[in-house]
Amino acid sequence: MWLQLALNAFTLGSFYALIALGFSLIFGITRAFNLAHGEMVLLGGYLAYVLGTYWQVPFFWTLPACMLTLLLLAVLLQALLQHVREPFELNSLVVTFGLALVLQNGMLVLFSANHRLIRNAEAAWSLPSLHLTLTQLQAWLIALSLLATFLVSILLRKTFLGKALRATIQDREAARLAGIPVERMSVIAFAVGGILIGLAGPLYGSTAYLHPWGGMEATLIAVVITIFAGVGRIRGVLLGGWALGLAESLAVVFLGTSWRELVSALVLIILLILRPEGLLRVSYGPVR
Amino acid sequence: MAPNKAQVCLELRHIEIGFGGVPLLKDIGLRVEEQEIVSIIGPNGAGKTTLFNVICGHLHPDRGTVLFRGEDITRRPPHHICHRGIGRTFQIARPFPEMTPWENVMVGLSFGKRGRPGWASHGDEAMELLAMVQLEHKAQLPARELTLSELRRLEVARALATRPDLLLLDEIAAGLSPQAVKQAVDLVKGLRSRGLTLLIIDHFLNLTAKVSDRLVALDQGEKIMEGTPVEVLQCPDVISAYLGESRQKVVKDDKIESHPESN
Amino acid sequence: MMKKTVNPPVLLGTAFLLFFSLWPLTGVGTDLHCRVLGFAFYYGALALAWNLLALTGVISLGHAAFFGLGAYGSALLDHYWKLSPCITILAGGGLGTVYGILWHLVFKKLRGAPFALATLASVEVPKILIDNWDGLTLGSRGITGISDLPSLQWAGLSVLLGRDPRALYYLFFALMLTVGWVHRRAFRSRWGWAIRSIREDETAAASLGVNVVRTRFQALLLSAFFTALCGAIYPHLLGLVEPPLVFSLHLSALPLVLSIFGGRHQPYGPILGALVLYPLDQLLFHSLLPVGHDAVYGLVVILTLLFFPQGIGAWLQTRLRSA
Repeated sequence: MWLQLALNAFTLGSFYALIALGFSLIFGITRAFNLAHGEMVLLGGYLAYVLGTYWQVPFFWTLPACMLTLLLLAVLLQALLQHVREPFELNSLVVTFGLALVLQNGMLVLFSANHRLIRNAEAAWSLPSLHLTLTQLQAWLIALSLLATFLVSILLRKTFLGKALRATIQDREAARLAGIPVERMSVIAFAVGGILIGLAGPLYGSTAYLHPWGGMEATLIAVVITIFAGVGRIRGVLLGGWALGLAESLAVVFLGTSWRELVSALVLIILLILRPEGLLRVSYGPVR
Repeated sequence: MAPNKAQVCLELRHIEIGFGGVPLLKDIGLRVEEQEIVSIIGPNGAGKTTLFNVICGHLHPDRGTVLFRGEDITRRPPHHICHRGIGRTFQIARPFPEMTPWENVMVGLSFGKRGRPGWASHGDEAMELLAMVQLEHKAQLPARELTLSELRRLEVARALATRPDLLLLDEIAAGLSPQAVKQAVDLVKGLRSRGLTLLIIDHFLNLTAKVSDRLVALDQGEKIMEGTPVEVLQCPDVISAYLGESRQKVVKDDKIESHPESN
Repeated sequence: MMKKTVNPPVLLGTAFLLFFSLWPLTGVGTDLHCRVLGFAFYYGALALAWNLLALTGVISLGHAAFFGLGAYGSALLDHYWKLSPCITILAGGGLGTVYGILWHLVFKKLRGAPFALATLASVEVPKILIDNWDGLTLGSRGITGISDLPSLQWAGLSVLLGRDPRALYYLFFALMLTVGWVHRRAFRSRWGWAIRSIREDETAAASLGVNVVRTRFQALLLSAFFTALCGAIYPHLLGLVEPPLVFSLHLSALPLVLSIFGGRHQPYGPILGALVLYPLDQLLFHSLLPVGHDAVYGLVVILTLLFFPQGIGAWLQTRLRSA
């Protein structure tokens, strides 16, 4: 039973990491605080639901469709946020807060408050001797999350563009002075972030019920993991995802499902108190 | 109850502070007597502003004590230290940007050492302070429209509004024209004649030689020399610190001997 | 504070007071108008309460925590002991204030985005606790059968506060004026100077003798108390309470939107925001978009922050001054 718990936690955690990846990248490179992150994930989920249910698009093909759509939406968001004034972090937070409200209500109008789920083939593999079952969906989640993390990691570490992105994460002003086109980096950050969000959406819609108010929770998860991992640190995102997945799974086992949401909220508060600089610049200068 | 001139106004003992494993100040000792003007000099990163932040309570030292007229003010909050009689300006001016210079000074008058009673009547006093730094003609503009030199002067007027006995001035002459520097020198002399004790940070040395009684040189968080302006400015350690030469050779050979007054 | 010409604002203010005090008595206007304006005052009070904290320079996304705790404090006292609404409402206010003290202790060092996030997360704690603590709070089923507001006897007139739209109108008007008075003190007083200096530059303020921690604490307590007070009235209006109703994001968002729109740094900004947006929403958008009209508030925040960062109030002021 514990093995199954570990597997479930691992699956959940990998998925959480995928959700957090886009947020971490966008925040790290642009310092934009996208409080509508969860709603955008939901949007991807709803889109996949519509494609699958009304146009019988096979699940596998909804993924690229959502990735493309969310890429466009994210780039639009970046254009909007360019007009936000200082202090950028706080103001982008409040503007995207408003955006979250708009999206929530938009989804309410379009899809009503009914909970919806993307139905998938229920294939599974079992190891009865170990009381272990892995569903096809879980396999997808793990594979895609790890693949996405791996690809982003390669992008940041092995490509020239990645170097420029990392420099922008480290110190935006210094990167600008070094000749890096930081504004273009912002667009790329949102584009890649949008792709990741679009990937997470349909997967989210397959594992959890889609309903207009589910976005905040996903956003909080993304924020928690980003702070835990340190801004822009990709490997930390995986670790953070697994840690959070484990914490939540344990909470469900010992306290019951109704306490699950409290875990991410409490972890976030604790992290914010212990590491308020987790959201600040990645530097170690003295406080003035 | 005017303090005797020979009494100690400010004393620092074994102040140490580090951040994230990087030491910023190492075993700093300092003594400033009443109505002295002491200048702290040193290259960038020497820890001068950090020292001010420790004295004024914006930073808490890991070790050591700060004594103001015999009272231990280490780790007390900044507003408490202000009420005790220490005022300061900031290296990068921090005016209240949406308030006018008059309002800026009013905050100092309202919350400084003699703050509370009849605070609304401080209005004239605010104008006097602004006049003293030649800002009365811009008293009603938002502070963010002031020039650098004017902002520096506003900082001084505002700090003076809190009725300090000890005033910490952080780089008030940096980046100013020779004219403005001369004004700053006159201002500093005028402050001393009002009975203030002054501790000045002056990285660029425009001010120090002309007004200070004593100089203290810092480099990389350590006090490397202390004495009269002539002594300190001619000390080879100080010169090489400013020129940024490799200190390793100097440290090994000369450092121990060239600390005449370190505690 | 240096007094500029006093007359136009005082004139405007007096006209405002007279108009809104007297028009319900004239018989012009319907019950609906009374109710909508009454609730505009109610949410205006809520916005003013939120803004008390925002004046110190931090944005809270979690004031629903105070509202919900106020609501449940009041509802529980009514449910178990049928105490008089005056007591339940004050007690609810007290409960919310206690959570405010907790905020101060735990979030003391946070500012800006970290503070906003922490407050957002902090709504979950009482919400999920109450949702799960079936034994005490009846959990997600909610509490029903809460008493109405009491009737008042005055000079032979009996006024049923709970039912009469006009009575409610005046109650909320008085509520908004009370919180509005406190809010105004946060501008025109020595305390107001402290608050403003903290908002503009906390470090400089501290070096000038402003007790930053104490001032922020005071603002937070007042903000929490009045928010919780409004929350404590809420169950008596509806007769019921349940966690998603009183700990909703909407209740955290609404005072924020109203204050930012009306002008966060204006003494009457939140009132202006409430009197413009709430009736607009209820009378116009609600009929256009019965579901999802809340999106308007989201749009308003986005547009205001992008184009009128100081709020409509400040924008109007500059236009009037140059006219």
